[in-house]
Amino acid sequence: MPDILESALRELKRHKWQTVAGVAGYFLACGFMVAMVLMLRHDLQAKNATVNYMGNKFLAYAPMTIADPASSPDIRPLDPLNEGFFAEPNVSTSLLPLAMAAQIARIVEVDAVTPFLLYRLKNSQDGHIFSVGGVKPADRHALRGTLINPDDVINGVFFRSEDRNVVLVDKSYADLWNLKVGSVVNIGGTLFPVIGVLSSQARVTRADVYMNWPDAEAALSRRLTGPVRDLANIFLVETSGAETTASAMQKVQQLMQQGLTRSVICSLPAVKFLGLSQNTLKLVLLLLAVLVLLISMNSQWSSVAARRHEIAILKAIGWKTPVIFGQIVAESFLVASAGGLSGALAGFGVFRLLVWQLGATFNAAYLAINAPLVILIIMLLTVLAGVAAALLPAWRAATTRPADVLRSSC
Amino acid sequence: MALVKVDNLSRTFVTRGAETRVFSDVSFELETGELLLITGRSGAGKSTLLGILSGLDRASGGRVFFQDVELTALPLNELADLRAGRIGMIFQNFNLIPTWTASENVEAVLMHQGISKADRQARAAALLTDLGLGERLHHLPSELSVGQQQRVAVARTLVNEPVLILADEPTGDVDSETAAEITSLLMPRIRSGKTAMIVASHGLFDASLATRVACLKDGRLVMA
Repeated sequence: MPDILESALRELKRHKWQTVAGVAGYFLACGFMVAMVLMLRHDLQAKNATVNYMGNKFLAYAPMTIADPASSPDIRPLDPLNEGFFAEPNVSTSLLPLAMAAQIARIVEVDAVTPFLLYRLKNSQDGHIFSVGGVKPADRHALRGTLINPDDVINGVFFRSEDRNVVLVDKSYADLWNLKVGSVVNIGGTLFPVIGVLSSQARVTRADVYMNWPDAEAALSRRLTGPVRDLANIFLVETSGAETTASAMQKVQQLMQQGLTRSVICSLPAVKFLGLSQNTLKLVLLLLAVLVLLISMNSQWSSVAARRHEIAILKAIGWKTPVIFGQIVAESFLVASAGGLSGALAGFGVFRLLVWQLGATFNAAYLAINAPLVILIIMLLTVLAGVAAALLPAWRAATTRPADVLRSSC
Repeated sequence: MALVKVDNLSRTFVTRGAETRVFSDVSFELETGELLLITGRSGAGKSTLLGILSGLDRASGGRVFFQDVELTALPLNELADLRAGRIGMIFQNFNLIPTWTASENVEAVLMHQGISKADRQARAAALLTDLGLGERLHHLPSELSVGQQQRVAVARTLVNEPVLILADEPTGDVDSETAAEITSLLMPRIRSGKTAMIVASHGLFDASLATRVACLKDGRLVMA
């Protein structure tokens, strides 16, 4: 083995321009792949993070239609012109059994689910319209990403499950009506003290005022023709990932078929686009790998053809077939390793340069784990491609019949 | 025990379905210390015969024994071992590797045999120096005269101290002075009884040096 490597190295030194060209080819291919993969992976991860933030959450509700007999006919707003359950500004909703939350939770793709009562209300004092949301603070995991969580509190405190007759208010509503911690909000004729002001970030829905579930049931029941008991008009659902959201939504819709349900999500096109980008990246890399393989093979084939006479002489003086085969493969291995290593490092340098130019930021984990892993994988693939590309030419060289070659050269 | 025993050897080429018989029924024996000169016109099959004797080519029929081992039945790798160790070859046009130095061309025979690099270099340098090329060890073949190139080729053949040398027109492409020089390098080894040699030549080799002369004509080997 050391003899084969020594011979291979000596041959590479002898054909230095050919070697330089070979190394340069692997250098460019590997460098390009490393820089491209690192940038695209980062880009995809950034998009993925965004899509995952919103893309794995959706709300499920049953839009109310005039002809819909199942839309809780006994429970109607006392002031249907100004008040009512809704999901989006122009979409009134029916009430659904609370037990449906447990059914939704059993769907494999669903990570967490919580019911929500979202009601549009008219203030009895000045007549302004605002929204009230009834939540179950115990469903902390489901609420965290879909609606509100303790981190959103900018003043005061968050609900506890046992808190009663207190509310949280959204910052925009608090700013509009100059509400602070300790202020009171009139809901259906009852005054509720504000214990916290929230500034929720991008979530699937929002309300102006948030109440604990039993308080919401009681307060809203006073504004309806019948009591709200074990009912919800929205289910806030979080799935295990953006990729599984579409499937989860489909299953939730199937579950809610009787109520003509609709699920809303804005990031599905993004998820699809993300999938498209990932597939494109894979295809481009595959194409590049095939090209590298073919070009390397062609180069090795030409090299072997040019050295056919030399190989025949070596066989004639006693070099064995495996030695010839091993030497050709070793030459390709060394060239691919040199090009792969230097190309990978250069590619990483280009990546850092692009990052600097774009002003992008990367977390330490990405640079410490992800980038070296990508570099290592691409480098190994380059070396493997180099070895694979040499197999056929090496076989051709090893099976050279010296008698034929030397006879024809006489 | 004969060093080489050739028994009813034949070689036929098949080209596009047509058979061309090169030679048949070739039989002879060779002892160490002998020099067999095989003459014949160009295309008579001399090189083909040497190719079969060296294991570079396969016979169509018959058998070749070398030190009682049937060459014609050996696998390619064992034939390669024989060429690397006990059978040396000298080609008509030297067949030196043009990108290798004189020393490297000689060392090539010793490579991949478990011999250290230093030992290989020392043996090649010693032999080339003996042959008057001590100052040319690191010269490429293109930097050597024809006679010097042939001496490198001889050194490559002798470096493993073969017991059989197969030479295909060893003096074919050189002037009479160089030809004499080459034969003077090879003959002492044969006369010492350590080596036998088979030379294929169409008349340019000095027949007076041969212990036996045979002619390959019309596909038959006729001993003179």
